[in-house]
Amino acid sequence: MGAADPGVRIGRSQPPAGQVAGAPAAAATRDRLSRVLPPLVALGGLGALWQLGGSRDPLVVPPLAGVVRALVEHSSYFLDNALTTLGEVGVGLGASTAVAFVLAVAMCEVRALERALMPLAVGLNVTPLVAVAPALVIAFGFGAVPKYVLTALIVFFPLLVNALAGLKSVDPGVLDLLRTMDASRLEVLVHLRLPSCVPHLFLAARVCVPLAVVGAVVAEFSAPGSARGLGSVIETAFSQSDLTTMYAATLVLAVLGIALAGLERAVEHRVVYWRSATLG
Amino acid sequence: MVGRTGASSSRTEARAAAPSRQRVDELVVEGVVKSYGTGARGTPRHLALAGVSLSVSRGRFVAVLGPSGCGKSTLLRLVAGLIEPDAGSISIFGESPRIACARKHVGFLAQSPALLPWRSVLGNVRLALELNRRASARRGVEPEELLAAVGLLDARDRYPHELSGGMQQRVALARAFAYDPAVLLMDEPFSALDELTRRRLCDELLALWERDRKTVLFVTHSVPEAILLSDAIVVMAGRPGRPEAVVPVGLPRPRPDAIEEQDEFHAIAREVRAILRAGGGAGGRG
Repeated sequence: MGAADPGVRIGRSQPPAGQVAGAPAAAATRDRLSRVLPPLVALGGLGALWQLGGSRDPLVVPPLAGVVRALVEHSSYFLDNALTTLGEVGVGLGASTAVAFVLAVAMCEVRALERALMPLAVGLNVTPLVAVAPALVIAFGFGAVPKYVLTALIVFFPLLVNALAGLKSVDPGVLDLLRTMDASRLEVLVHLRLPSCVPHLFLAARVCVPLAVVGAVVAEFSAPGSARGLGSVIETAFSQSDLTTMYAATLVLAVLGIALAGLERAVEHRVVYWRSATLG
Repeated sequence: MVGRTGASSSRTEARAAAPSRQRVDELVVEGVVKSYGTGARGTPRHLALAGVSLSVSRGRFVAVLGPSGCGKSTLLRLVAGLIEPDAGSISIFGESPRIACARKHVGFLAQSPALLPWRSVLGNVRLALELNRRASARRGVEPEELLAAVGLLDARDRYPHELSGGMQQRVALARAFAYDPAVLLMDEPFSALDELTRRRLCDELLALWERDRKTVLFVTHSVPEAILLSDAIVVMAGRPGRPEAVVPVGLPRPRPDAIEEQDEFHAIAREVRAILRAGGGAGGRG
């Protein structure tokens, strides 16, 4: 080894053509399959267990086949009631989001307002709101209003807290920049705080969508006389010991919840496009 | 006069000599003291700046160099009006920092690019125009032209999360120039970037600066970066932070690529490092 030899060798070669281009497509298919297959297997297994258990003791768990048959035979009945529940979820969640958002902006801008209202919001949160359902029925009757109110109440706190956190958790670097640019409070709100808040609202929605379904169903439980919505269906079926209908309605609720969660993800992905890289 | 510095006590005569004359062509820092911490419950107050005076003539590019914790960022944030001094005064061409900010005279660029993630590259540069009507009315520099100057015209419709750190900082640079301030305050803007990217951004910064030669205060802890960019280097020492010396950089502009190989460059670097070693005894390694 001479003195001039650094003891290092380098080399370059072309990767074989075709090999690089061909690989990703097959890998993507395999990847998709490995993601879809396991949950399908698990779901199938659960369905089989359900069918097996139901066949042995139909008075505890109705067989899955019977539940599915009931769903198919009375599909319009279930669909109709599912739409009622969905409407309650939509109105309650929408109204609550609007109020929570406006209130969060006010609380963010006016400190005294935050100090005044936050304890009340916390108080609302620690109250088991489902217990209020019968009182709401007395106050607002057997129509849709008590369902809207309970749904809105149940999702209000997480929405408010997340909206407020979103308005406040802004990039301090951008805040400094805007201050040197002498941006007004309105400009800071419009350019920085409101957009920063949007991802947090979706984060809240992930929790609040299932919660809203709980609120709507519990409100329906409390006023079965109106006989609308999946909660009322379950309550009525309970009074007739109609186990199959109860399970069918519950199954519809589960599917409704999954669909709403999927919808939330899809909307979030479109609206919060700038987070797509980090949140997947 | 470039970057005259001194401890507050030694400059009393100068202040007395010109008490009311509006120094409209200088950025003046006079006897500024700044400490952090409340001092309550026995927590010691940390003295970040102990009586700093400094003046910079309009149109100069001045680097503020010093070890970590010497208060150079604090100094810049004071000039930007982001924090208030405990004592002393700051005047940006005859205006207080707050007024200068309100008149849209102060540009600020920090280590983080501070981009709005929901705005495209072009949208981020346009933010500067939306917040400074004067710059947008003058229409002197188009955002597209500035993006072209930093090599990002093709990326104008992309979003910050799709860009590398160097590209993000380029957007911030273009935005700072689109804002068209009288003074540009830069707080280690390139220190998070790798060496090669950093060097390229320095060149792009110089090219932009050559257009209208704004007054620049450029905080850095890199000796070569300070020499490459500035007309003069204010060397600071730490604990408590104070200006130690002004080193003029007499290198011709525009500065060629090979400037770092020149003997004058090395001579200035040696001088600056000697001051850093002498002044930073307790605090820093230059």
